[in-house]
Amino acid sequence: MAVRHSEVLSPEGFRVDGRRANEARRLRLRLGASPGADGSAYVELGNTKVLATVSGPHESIRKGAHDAAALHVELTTLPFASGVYRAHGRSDRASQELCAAVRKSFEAVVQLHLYARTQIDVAVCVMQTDGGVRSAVVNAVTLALVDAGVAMEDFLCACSVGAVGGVLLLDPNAQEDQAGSELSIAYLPRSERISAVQLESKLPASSLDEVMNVAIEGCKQMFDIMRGAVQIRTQELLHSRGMFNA
Amino acid sequence: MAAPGSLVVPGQCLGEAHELVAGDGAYLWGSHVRASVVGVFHVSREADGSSRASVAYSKHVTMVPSIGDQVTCRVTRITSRMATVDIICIGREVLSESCTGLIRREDVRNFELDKVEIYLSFRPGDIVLARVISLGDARAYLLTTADPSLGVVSATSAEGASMVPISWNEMECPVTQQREFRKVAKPPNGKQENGLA
Repeated sequence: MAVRHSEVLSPEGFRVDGRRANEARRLRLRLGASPGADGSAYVELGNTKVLATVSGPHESIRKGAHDAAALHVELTTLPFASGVYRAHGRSDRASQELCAAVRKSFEAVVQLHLYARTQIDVAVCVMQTDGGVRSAVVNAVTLALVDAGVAMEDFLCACSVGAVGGVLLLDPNAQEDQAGSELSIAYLPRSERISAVQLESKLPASSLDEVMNVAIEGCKQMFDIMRGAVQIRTQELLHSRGMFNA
Repeated sequence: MAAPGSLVVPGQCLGEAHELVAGDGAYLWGSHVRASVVGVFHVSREADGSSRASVAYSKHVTMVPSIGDQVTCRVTRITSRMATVDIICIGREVLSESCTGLIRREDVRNFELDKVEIYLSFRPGDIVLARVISLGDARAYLLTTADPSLGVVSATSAEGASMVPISWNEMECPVTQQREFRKVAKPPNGKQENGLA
């Protein structure tokens, strides 16, 4: 059900779901969504729903370099996540690629050298997909790691931009995704660095800068919401233990 | 820049590197000290006059033993060459998940090394104070009890009673008066709990 190029923006400037071109979908966050885990976060980006849980750092059961923690990322997608039944395996190429990308981007942000000889397990469950899965997963993993108290250099915030026939759409949904190319980036808002860039299909080289800038703006919006959620959650936690009164 | 006592999130700037030293939950990035965990920002004055920035998180955070730490462990298995232990505490902090340690025969004490017998020093179930000497191999931390203050602090006899230390290498069962050999830790004040020297 891909939208045609001419239909991504109505003459009034609205997208198929009623947003403006530079508006992201509603980001709803819940930290500590899975109380059994060391850290967890549930992220809803529009209709894309992702749960990330972190276990660790705990003693490493695998052999390997033991001067730093090993980061393991596992991703499962529910069979009805996209609305049509599809049995996703763990060896699914797309999810393996996403796992590797998430692991690589977080290896640069998490201060793994502080946890020598341990491993940190990240399990991500994609419950519903409607475009922007990559961004939702990265944001969820960031929040789960923060919730677990794992030392990180910065937040890692992700956002995607769709380019459909010269029109740039922030945070495209599944319909807009199929109509054009999608660029998603993972961004470190405090140190203003980019940790990962992923481009699906082609994009004119001349428009790359503009697309990246829109994506960075999107990441900053995500960061503000994520930081707010982290602060509220931590205030509640600290307040309940009488450690902090604001 | 965050004020001391306020809530900070990872990546948030805590101050200039020439004013602050990065402590727990903080790190140095370029010319600034930044937070690496979410929590309350504290500044403490160090003995050398510098200010240390630390961020305290509310949750229990996983700890990892490092070289020189005094640890409390439970002996799980002994062989003629070494004792395998589970590290259950680091200093005064209880670990949420124990990790494996190893006390080799030559690390049990620092004299008469060739006469050391593991089975006369530790038994499975003993609670032992030890110090981390190396991060060891991929499986276990290397520990030592080669210090008078290190060794067995609590052990149960065959009778099931908690034994009383009577010398640096013997413990006695209060029920059967049977003596068993252990590498006993000397308490810090130089006196055993029962008042014996």
